Amino acid sequence: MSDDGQNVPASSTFLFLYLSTHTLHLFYKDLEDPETMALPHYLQGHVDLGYDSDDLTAFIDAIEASQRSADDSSALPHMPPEIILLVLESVPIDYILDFRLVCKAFRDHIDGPVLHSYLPATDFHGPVTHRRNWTMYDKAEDLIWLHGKFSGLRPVPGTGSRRMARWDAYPKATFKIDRDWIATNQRSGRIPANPSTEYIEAITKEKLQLSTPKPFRAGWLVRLGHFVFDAHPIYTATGEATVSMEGQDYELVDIGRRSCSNFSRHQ
Amino acid sequence: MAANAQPTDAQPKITLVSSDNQKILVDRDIAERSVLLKHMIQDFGGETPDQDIPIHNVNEVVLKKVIEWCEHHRADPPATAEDDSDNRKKSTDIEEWDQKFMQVDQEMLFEIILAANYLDIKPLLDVGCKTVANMIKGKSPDEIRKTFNITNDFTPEEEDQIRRENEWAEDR
Repeated sequence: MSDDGQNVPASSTFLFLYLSTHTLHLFYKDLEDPETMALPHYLQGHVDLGYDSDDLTAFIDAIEASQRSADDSSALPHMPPEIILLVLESVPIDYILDFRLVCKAFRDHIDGPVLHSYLPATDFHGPVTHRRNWTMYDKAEDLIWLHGKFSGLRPVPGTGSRRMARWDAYPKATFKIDRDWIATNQRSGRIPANPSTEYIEAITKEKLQLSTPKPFRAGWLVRLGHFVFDAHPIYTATGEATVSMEGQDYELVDIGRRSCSNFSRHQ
Repeated sequence: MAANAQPTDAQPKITLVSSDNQKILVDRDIAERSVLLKHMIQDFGGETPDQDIPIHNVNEVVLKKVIEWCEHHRADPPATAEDDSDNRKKSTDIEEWDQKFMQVDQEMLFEIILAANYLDIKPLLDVGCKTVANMIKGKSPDEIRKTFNITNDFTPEEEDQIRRENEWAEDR
């Protein structure tokens, strides 16, 4: 990881780590403006957050099979999977995770296309510390919560011809660290005015490789509307951080998913 | 209802026949809110068809309800492809008149959605789906399964796993 870091100008940071939308956790945050759900216009030309017909077919087949085997004692008219799909798309984000418990088809659809469609509204939050062995018994002030906003997705090079869901071709999302966040923390002296590569490596590397203190479980989080994805189990398993520098006053954090094959859709 | 209204203007009328064989007279522009009917009318060479159009999948009660919606929305601009992408905002806002319109029992609501789907009236289908989404959003997984007649295909262990994933952060 240091190879990249040495070759670039030293003032801001790219962090690459991998996380799967498959493992996710939630907590409630303040209500978000639903407008933020929309993809910013400047990204629309670059990002295709759709899902392809294979995903839909899988969902529809699974629901149909499920409905066939269900005890059809319901007095209600039969709802075709195509319409259930439309209903799911209208369920507000603060309820959608509960729907993962309904059946596998719901869970897989929500974990994939539905949550990916929310990516433009995501925030990135990660606790970082400059202390070597931060534990929950240390002062919370030594923790800094890194904060960034979704800025775009990066395609995987060379996957253009492969048959895969469109959102699977974008395993990395780019998050732009708030300038305000940096400014605030610099004013309070919690991060240096000009953080060096080594500094950023020091505060991030450990968090990316450590086993987080169990009761605290502070990990890297991606907030989707009201929800928060827990990045922790993934980056410890497969994650890798690359720190490099570019630009003057902002950092980028990349969040991706595990490869398509690891995304266990049909367990 | 349009069925009882006397034709007072030059607006051409079309006779729809519900699945239970009831004739309903509607203005042509009302019928054309349905893409299916619009295409059928086009197949008559643009002339207003003077023969009855059977609607096999929709009964009289539901069809009248659908026509009521179309009459209220007769002046709405037709949906465009751009509207579709805007819907990704996942807004669950429903305008007030539509909310009242959708205050029917669940069976009727489902019938309206199925009719809107069959007749291809996208804005009505959207309103119906949003209404269902609002209705089920706080329900238990089991209630949702009953609503859609879906089988629970999780093992108890898998269910526990998902509960842990969902609940873990609520305690934070």
